[in-house]
Amino acid sequence: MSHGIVTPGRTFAERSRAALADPELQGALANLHRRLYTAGAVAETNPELRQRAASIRREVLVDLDGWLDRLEASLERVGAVVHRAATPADARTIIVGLARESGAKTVVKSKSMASEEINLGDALERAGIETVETDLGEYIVQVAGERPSHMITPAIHKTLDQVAAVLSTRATGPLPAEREPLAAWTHDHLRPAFLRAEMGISGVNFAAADTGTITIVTNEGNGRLCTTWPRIHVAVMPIEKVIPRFSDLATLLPLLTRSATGQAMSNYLSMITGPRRDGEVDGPDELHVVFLDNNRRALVGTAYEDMLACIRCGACLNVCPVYRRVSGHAYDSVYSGPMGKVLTPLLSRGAEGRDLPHASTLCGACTEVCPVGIPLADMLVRLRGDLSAPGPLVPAPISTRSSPRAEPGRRRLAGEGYPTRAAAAAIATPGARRRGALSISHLGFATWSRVWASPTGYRMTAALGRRIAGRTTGGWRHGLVGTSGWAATRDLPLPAPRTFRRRWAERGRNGDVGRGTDSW
Amino acid sequence: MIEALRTVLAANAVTVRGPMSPAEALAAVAGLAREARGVVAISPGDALVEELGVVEHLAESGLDLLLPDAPDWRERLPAAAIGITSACLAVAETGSLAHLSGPGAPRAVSLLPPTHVCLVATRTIVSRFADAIARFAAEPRPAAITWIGGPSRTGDLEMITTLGVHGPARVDVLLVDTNA
Repeated sequence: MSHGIVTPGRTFAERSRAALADPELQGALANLHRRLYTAGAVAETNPELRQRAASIRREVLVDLDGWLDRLEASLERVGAVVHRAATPADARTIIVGLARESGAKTVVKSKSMASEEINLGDALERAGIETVETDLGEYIVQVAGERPSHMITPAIHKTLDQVAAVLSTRATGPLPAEREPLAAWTHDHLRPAFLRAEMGISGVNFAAADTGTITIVTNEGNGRLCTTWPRIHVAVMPIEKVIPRFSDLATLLPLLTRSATGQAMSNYLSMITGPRRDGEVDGPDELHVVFLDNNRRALVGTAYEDMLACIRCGACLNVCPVYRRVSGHAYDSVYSGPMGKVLTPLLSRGAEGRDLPHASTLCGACTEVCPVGIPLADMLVRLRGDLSAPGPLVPAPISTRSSPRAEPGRRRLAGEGYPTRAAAAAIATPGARRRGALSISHLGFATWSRVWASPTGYRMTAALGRRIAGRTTGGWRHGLVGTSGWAATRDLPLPAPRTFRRRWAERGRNGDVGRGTDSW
Repeated sequence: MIEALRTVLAANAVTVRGPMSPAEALAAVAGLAREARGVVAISPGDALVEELGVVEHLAESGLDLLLPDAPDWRERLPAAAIGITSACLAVAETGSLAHLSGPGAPRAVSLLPPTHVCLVATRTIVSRFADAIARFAAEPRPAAITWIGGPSRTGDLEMITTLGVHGPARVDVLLVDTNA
């Protein structure tokens, strides 16, 4: 299995142009209109559900390490085995190791963004273990040699004709481009893999710290099969999936499914508390839960910690005017759309997706629709600033956060409790290749910031700019050096003939401040 | 609440019948089992299946029954034509049918066969999803609580709901009034 990038190009801008020029992609993306208002409707009809969910997710972040410790204890109490992985490489090593130890020849996977994040499928295939994606959308992109372009609907970039053509390569003859027959063919074609697989791999939607229950949300039933029939179940859990209480599911599950697909509840929910028990004839003998950090814990206490509240509903993708035109592959990242633009540089500490925060009009549709109130647009602006400095992205801690619910637990060091196996060095040096390349724009903005921080500097440069602008006629507004791309569809404002500062000074001298008689 | 549940389930492509008496329910189950023309898998540990005596009733009908204590249960279940279970509760608001795993109550009876018949006692219908979660939060949880809303479905083909991918393409719910 190889993850080719469908939309070629080195930068987001290049890949976007290719995406815009692809008529079949543009045709497939028209289907996104079906979910354009889905999450917005939740905001209108269930505002209190959003508020409750947002506060539950923040409660987790107040003491993430503590909740994880409680979750680990609960999972072990019910017979699950917990593994802590600091890096994607550690997670791969753990899971490939489990597959090898158990002698697994076939692994079935249900959809999991975390397993995409750690590129697990490739690692298992390299280890000689047949790995079958079983979510229909994931299976389509696996057969096509691509990667998911949407976290809820992985093959949204494909038209029905294209899907039929892709799946036909695994069929005995051409399949019709009709939905029901394609679904039925998938059922018959993938069922043997479920029955022969020794290991099932799933993600986790929520893990309750009090009871050790992991919940998996699916519609097709592949998640149920992966966690029911194979002898071993491995659940890959990004650490922010922990929730304090089982009872929080009453809030989070309806919110997730309504925001993701508009369903009052997902078709299937699996709430799993440990492996099979005495007397049961199905369910896995072993349940392993892999906690994946991958730089998430480093975000706690920084201006970006809200990103860890994300519940992966995909609503911000569905409403984003950029995503809706270019689709997920243009982002060249597992996570696309607005949340991907924020998460990709954060998880990679700036090694990947440095241009993604600029792939935004800052219209704020994502922020408005986010069911757990993540200020995505604000974070995009902040990231533009933080990424303008070369080198690794290391968000600074903010010291203002304090909550009455916070338990004064010991703050752990980065990596503590997450033993690294192979890739400790990789944490320290992502983005190293970018270091040293001091960018011109960074230098420019740094100088600008320093000059305009002083009243004198501001007065002098502003006066200079006004003089230049005043002497040039209309044309300059589109042709200013370095702004041509941006200014092609916009006019820069003409400076006022008299500045506010000058008028203010004159009013003060004339003693008529506050009278408001002067004409402005 | 019964009408609310019926409406939601019907919207999710479930065939709903009843409320009916226990005797009518047994007759309906036998009819569906015969129609399936194949192995009939049963989850005898589910409360209502046990209470109604579904296994005993069907045993007299000469159908090929598959029970979890069969030594070749795992080999035969994938070829079963129909799976018969009962939900421990049903949520009217969301149309979710909760199943508890346990001895005699396997998870796959409602999953592998192409048709799933689910018995629901009307007395176990709760109004809201939150009510059901509160109940499960208060008592010890089994290894798996499986919630089923209807036939297996996907939105992966042009974001249009399409039935029947990995789980049953057909789900029949029989509402049973155990006092009738």
